[in-house]
Amino acid sequence: MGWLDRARKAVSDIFNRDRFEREMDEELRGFLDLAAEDRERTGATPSDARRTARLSLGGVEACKENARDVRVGAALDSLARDAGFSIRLLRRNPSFAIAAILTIALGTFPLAATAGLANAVFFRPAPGVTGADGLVHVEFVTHDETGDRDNARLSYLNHADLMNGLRGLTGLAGHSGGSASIAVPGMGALHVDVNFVMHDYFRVLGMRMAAGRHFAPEEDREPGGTPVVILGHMLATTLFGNPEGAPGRSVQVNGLDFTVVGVTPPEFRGLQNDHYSQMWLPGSTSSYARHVPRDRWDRRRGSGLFESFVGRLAPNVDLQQARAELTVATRALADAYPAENRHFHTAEILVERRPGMSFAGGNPRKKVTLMVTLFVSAGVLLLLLAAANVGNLLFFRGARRRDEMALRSALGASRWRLLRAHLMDVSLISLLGGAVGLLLTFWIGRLLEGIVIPEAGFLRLPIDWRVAGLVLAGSVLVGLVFGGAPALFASSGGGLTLAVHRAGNRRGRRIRDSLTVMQLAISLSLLVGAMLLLVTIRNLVRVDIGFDPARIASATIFPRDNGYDDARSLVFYRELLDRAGATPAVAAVSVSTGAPMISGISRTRVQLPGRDREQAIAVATNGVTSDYFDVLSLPLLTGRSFSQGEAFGPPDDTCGPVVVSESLARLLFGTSNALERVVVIARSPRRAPMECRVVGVAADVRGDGPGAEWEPILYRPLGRSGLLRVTVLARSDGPPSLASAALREAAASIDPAIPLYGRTSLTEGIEFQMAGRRIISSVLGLVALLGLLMAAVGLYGLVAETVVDRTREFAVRMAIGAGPRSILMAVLRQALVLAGIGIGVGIALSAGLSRTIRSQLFGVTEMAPWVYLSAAGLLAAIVVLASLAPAVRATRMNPVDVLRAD
Amino acid sequence: MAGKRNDLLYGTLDFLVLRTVRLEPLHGYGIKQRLLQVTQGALDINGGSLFPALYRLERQGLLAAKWRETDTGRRAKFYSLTAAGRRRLKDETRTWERASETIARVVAAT
Repeated sequence: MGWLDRARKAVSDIFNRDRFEREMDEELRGFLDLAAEDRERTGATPSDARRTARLSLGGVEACKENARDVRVGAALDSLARDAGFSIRLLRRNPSFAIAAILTIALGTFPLAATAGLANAVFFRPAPGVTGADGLVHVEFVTHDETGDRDNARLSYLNHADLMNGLRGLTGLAGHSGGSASIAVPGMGALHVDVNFVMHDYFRVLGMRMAAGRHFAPEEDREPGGTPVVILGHMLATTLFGNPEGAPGRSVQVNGLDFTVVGVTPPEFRGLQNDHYSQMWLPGSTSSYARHVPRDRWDRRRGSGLFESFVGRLAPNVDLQQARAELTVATRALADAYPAENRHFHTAEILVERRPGMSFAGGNPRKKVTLMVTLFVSAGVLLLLLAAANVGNLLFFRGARRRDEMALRSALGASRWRLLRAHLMDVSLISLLGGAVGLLLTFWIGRLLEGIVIPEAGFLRLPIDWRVAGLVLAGSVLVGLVFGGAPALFASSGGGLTLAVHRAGNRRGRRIRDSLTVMQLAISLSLLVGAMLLLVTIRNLVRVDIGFDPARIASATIFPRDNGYDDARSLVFYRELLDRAGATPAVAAVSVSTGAPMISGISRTRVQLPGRDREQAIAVATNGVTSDYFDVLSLPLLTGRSFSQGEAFGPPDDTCGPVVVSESLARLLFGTSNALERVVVIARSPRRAPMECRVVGVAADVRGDGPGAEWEPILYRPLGRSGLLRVTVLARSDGPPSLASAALREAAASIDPAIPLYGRTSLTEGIEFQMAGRRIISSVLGLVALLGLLMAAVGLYGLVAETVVDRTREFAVRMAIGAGPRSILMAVLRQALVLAGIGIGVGIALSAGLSRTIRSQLFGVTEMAPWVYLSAAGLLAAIVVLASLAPAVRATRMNPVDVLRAD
Repeated sequence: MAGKRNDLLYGTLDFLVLRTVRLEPLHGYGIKQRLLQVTQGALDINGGSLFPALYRLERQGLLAAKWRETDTGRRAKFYSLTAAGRRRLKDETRTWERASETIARVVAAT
C-alpha cells in the first residue's frame, strides 16, 4: 500500500469512526458467537458457553479500547473524545466550570494587559504608518566638552548634500517637537503639541491621508516656508466637525494665518508615544511660526533645526549597510566644509529600528519599564494565585470523580488514558479561562484607549496574535503545571487510579496544603502593600499644605507663543485680571510665574547684605500679582502684599519689594522682625547683586504637594521676574469650572488666538501628584482582594473535603460521646494551622516586597507592625469564616446514618 | 503476570498471524482456533491481543479483510495475505529460521 493509500485510509479513519466502530462490534459479536457455539458443542450450557467465550476475548470493552488505539488518527480521535467528555462534565457541573474559568480569566487578565502594554510600547509600530519594517531612526551622535550627549543638527543644506547619491535610504525626514496655539474664528484657541517636519516626512512614513495631501517640496523650500499645516484627525474634527472639509480652510497658528492642506488618519498620533501630536508644520516655517526673528538658518550650513530623523531603507538594504553609507557621506560633508561641519568628523551615526515607542530622541522607555514592571509583578502574583486555586479546585473535584475514574479504569481505560482525560480537563479550563481573560483585556483596553500615563504616553493595549498566543499559552502552561504536574507526580506511585483522584492520598494532600499556604502568603503580602499605600494616601490627604486648594481654577498661558514680547504680555495679564475679576464667578484672581503643585518654581540664590557670595542659599522664587495670597487664602503674617503698580512695574535693574515666606524669614533673620530688612539676590558674578526690601511675610506652603517639606520662597513682583509661562489662578465662590469659563471668556475677549491650557484646578494638580500612589494602591488592593477571595474558596474546598474524608472518623467519635464542639475544633484546627504557616510565610514575603514601595510611602514605614498585624488578623478571620460552614456541617451529621451507610 | 506473557508474544504475534492465514483466508476466531490446534493447545490467544494485531496488520497493508459468509452461514470478516504481506512473511520466516537455527546451535553446543 503506497503512502497515498495510507493517507487516504488515515483520513477515512478519522471521518469514518462510526463505521469502524460498527464493524468492530459486528466482528467481535461474531467471534463470541462462534466461540460459544464451539463450547456448546462440547457440552457446556449456553450461559456457561457465553461466559467462557467472553473470557477468551479478554473483556469486550478492553478489547475494543486496545483495538481503537491501532487506528491511524486514534490519538486525535480520542483527544476529541476527551474534549467532548470534558465539555459534558463541565456543563454538568457549571458552578465548578465558572469558578475555574473565571479564576483563570482573572489570573490571566493582568498578564494580557501587561503583554498588550509591552506590545504597544516595545514592539508595535506607530499606528497609521505603512511598511514599518523599513523605517529607521537616525541620529548624528556627538558629545560636548563635558561628555554629555549633544547631537549634531543637520541643516537643510547639509541634508540636501547628504541625500545626493545616497542609495541605502529612499528618504530621510527630520522632525522636531514643540507646542503651539491654534484657533479658528468663533472658537476658543487650543494649545496643542506640534511637530515641525521636513516635507517628505509623510511620504517616508507611507501615510495615507484621511483628507488632503502631504506637504509639497516647495512648501518646505522657500526661506520662511509656506504657511501650510497638516492637522491630526481629532483636531480637524474638533475645529471643523468634518475632517474631509478641512483642506483648504484657514486656521490661526500662534496668531498667524495658515492653510490646512491635509488631515492624518485617525489612528496616527505622531511617532512619539509620550506626545499626542495633532499638528504638523513644514520645518522651514519654524522661525516664522514661533515669532523668532528671521534667523537665516535655511541659508546656513553649520546648524539646523533637526536632530532626529526618520528614514526608509531601500529594498534589500540592512541597518549596517545604511549606517556605513551614511557614515561615509557624513565624513565627506565634514571634509567639504571643515569649519562649519567639524562636529561631523567624529559624529557617530545611529541607525536603528524603533518599533512602537518613539522615533524621537530621549528615552521614555525607562519610566514605562517601571510601570510595566509593576503590572508584571502584580500579574505574575495573580496568575500564580489563580493557578494555585485552580489546582486546589481540581483536587477537590478529583475527589468527587473518584468513583467515575475507578469505573473507567475497571472498564479497561489505561492510566495514561485517565491522565490524558485529566490533562484535557485542565487544558480546556485554562484555554477557556485564557480566552475570557483576553476578552476582558480587549474590552478594558477599549475603555482605557487614549488615557495618558503620566510621562509615559498613551495607554494602548493592542491584542494581536503575539499577545493572544502568549496569554493562551501562558494560561494553559500554568494550568498544566498546577493541575497536571501534581497528577503526574503523584501517579508515579503506581496503581490504576491517579493520586489526583484520591484526595486522601498523603502526597496529594501535601501538595494541596502547600498550594493553600502559598495562596495565603501571597494574599497577605498584597494586602500589606495595599494597606501601606492606603495609609499613605490618608496621611497625605490629612497633611496641612498651607492653603486651601478647593474652588481654585487654574490655567497656563503663554502669549509669547503668539509673538507677544514681555511688555505686551504684561498688558495682556493686567487686562485679563481686570476683566476676569469683574465677573461674578471670580472672587479673586492672580497671575504668577509659579503655582503650588501646578507649575515648576524657579530658583534663585539669596543672602544677607555684606555676606560672602559663597554663603548664598538657593530658594524658590515666584513672581506674583497683588491678589496671589488672597486667592490661595494664604495669610500674610506681617506687612503687606504688592500693590498692582508694584506688581506690573516695568523691569529695571533694581529688585523692588519682596515678600518672604515664614520659613525663609526664619532662615535669614532668625526670630527677629523681617519687615523692612534687606535681602540680597546673588546673580552671576558678572552682574551686581540686587538688594531687595522685605515688605511682608507670608505663611508657608508645601509647594511640591503634601509629601514635601515647607518651602522657603521669595515672592517678587510679577513684572520684575523673568516672564515665561504664567499661571492664572482664580478663586470662586461656586465650583471652579465657573471660574475657569470666566477666565477663558476674558482671555478670548482680549485676544481669541491665545489659548488657556494645562490643569484647570489646583485639586487636579494635587490629584495628579497622588495619581501614581492611587494607581498602585488600587491595583494592589484589587489584586489582594481577588487573592483573598481565591484563598477563601481554596480553603473552603480543602476543609470541606477533609470533612468528607473524615466523616467516618467523626461519626465514630460522636457515637462514643464527642460533642459538636470538639468536632468543630478538630476541623478548625486544621485550617488554622495552615493559616498560621501562611501568615508566617506571608509576613516574611511582605517584609521583602514592601521595600520596593518604600519611596512611595509617607508617614508610615514599610515595617509598621500594626499594618502587618491587622492584615494577618483580617486573613485569619477570613480563614475561620471560610472553614466554618463545612465544620458546622460536620457537627450536624447523624453518626448512625453515616456508619450504617458504610 | 499476564502482561509479561503478552509482551513476550507481542513481537512474534504478528508473524504467527501472517503465517496462519498464509494458506487460506480466515476470520478472527478461525485464526485463534488454528493456532490452538497447531500448537496442541499451548497457544491460546486472547481476543484482546488478536484483534489489535489484525487491525494493525491490515493498516500496514499486510492483510486484506473481506466480509464473507462462513460455512455455517454467519457473516464474518476474513483476513488474507496481500502481496506485501507475502513478501513480509517470506522475510520474517527467513529471519526466524536463521535465528532459531543459531539458537539451536548454541543450545546444542553448550
